[in-house]
Amino acid sequence: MKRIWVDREKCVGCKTCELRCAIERDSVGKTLYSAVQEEPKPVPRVGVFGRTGAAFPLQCRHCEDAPCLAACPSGAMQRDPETGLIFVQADRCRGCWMCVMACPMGVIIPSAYKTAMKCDACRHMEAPVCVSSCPTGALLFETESGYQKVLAEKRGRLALFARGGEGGASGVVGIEFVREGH
Amino acid sequence: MTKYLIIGQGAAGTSAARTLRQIDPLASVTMISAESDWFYSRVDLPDIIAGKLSPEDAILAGREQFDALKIECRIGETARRIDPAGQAVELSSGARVPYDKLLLATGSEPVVPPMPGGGARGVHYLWTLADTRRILEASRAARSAVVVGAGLIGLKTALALKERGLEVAVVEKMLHVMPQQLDETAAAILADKVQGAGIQVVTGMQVNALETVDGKVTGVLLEQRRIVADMVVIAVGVRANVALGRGAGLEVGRGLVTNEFLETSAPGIYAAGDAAEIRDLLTGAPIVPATWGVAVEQGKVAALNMAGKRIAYDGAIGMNSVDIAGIPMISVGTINPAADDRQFTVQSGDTYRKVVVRGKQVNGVLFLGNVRQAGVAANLVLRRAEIGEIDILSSNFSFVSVMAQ
Ligand SMILES: Cc1cc2nc3c(=O)[nH]c(=O)nc-3n(C[C@H](O)[C@H](O)[C@H](O)COP(=O)(O)OP(=O)(O)OC[C@H]3O[C@@H](n4cnc5c(N)ncnc54)[C@H](O)[C@@H]3O)c2cc1C
Repeated sequence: MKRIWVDREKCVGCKTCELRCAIERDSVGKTLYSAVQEEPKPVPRVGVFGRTGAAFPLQCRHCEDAPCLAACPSGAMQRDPETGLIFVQADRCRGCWMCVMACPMGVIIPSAYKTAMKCDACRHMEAPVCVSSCPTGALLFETESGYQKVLAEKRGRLALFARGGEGGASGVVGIEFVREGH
Repeated sequence: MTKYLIIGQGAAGTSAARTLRQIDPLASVTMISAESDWFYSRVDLPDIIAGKLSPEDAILAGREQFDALKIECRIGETARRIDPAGQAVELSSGARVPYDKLLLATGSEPVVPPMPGGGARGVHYLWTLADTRRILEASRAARSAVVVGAGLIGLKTALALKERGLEVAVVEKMLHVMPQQLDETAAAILADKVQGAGIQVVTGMQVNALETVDGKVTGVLLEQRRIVADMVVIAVGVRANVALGRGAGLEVGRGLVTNEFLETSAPGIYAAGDAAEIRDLLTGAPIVPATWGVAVEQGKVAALNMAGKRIAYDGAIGMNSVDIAGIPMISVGTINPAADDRQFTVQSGDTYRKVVVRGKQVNGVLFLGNVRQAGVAANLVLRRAEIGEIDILSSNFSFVSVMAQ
């Protein structure tokens, strides 16, 4: 399956991904001009965190042993059997925030409509909008092997960031699954 | 062909059944459910009372889904007795169901406090869809209601009855609402919202008796006060439903005592979910977390062990998330600090955040009003992480703060 990978050295913290994600995936008007006037304000599913110089775009990792899936009591949180991507069926979401509590990455967002919102890697589109809009190429949408190729080319300077987590029996997901490539 | 038998079709039982089917496509998997409804979400029950959802909306998997997985379900039948020596369970219908491995996923039952008038008509508890239908029915003929207990279920039920147009009061014997999940500051923010919704909130007062006329409830009696009520919902907590296990001589503490493989004191008999006593991940103390996600996880781990894989369950901690009166809140671990703990808080209007640190470790976190990033903090508690330089109270707190450590 294809996942979103991050080249942390290339991220300059410009937040273009946040902006394009909010406009494309959460606004009604789909343009910057109209989006800024909307209420509630469109919210991005990707967040650029960290200081300048050490910025990092975070969005759902679509974990193999996803704690959000186990936590959801309404069947809203689902995995697409074909792509492996995890998405929210909003009309089933009851806004209990158990997924928010379960996600160790903090990438599930309680929306203004009291439903959980998260990155689904723009599964109905050609490529995730954060990836296609990134001006520095810090985001890649690739399979593991495709990514390994890029990684080899770069000789391991990438943060290997899309690993599935080894969810422990208690649902604890260590941050070990954010590993530096070597 | 191994014969797996599961008692209870809740979160734990269903998770176990699905896992067993996944591991072994040929095994015989049978579920016994005392309820007449198929697997549904209890979390939806207050919204059904409020009229926002219909009972059908709560169903998570029905006959079709279980049939597709070839899981045999005996719905509306109660398991009466376990015969551990004969490896069989007797049902209320008299039928005898044999097993090789048995899972008790019998869940919780509401605590029934002994009080005069407690058995009167118009007194309700909320745990099942059947309870919900009864409350819904009663609310149509009632003008006023009192909810006893201001925990998660009590407050949600009170708000739901208010939405139906009833005059509603909540009475809590502890000094503030949701005493298990919140501290005083957080509780004050929440109580304000609940009152703002038109509900009378009475804390620090015990209901001594229910007032009845001709066997029907007409009010509740506090120390020096009486509150009129056409119906009463008692929500003072739940306890593990251990009757079946106890009858078979299983060891019982707060729930059915389990070892690290979720096996009870009787070999071949496992327990999972609200019925099982497990260990606190941080302290090792015996606990029953009684939450949905934990029940799903335990159902899965129990199933893996029933199928012969030795997978240890490391325990859980008390954690809860809920949205009440428009206020989201997530509380994890120890919220009310012990003597040597340090606590840090930040409040701005209706948002409040608190961290409890024991030694160097994050021991508890509370997010109220804005719960984004609460999962990152919860994971720090679960991993017994050292707090180091991580500033959970900062508005910039995120997973990247943790990565940077
Ligand atoms: C109104 C409400 C709101 C809630 N909100 C939340 C929330 O926001 N977050 C959260 O984490 N949790 C919440 N919970 C709690 C959550 O629903 C439980 O933790 C969860 O349902 C536990 O699942 P379980 O499978 O262990 O047990 P249960 O769901 O109790 O299922 C056990 C089943 O076993 C059956 N059974 C018992 N004995 C027998 C027998 N002898 N024979 C046959 N069948 C038997 C019972 O009838 C029952 O159907 C809420 C509960 C309620 C009622």
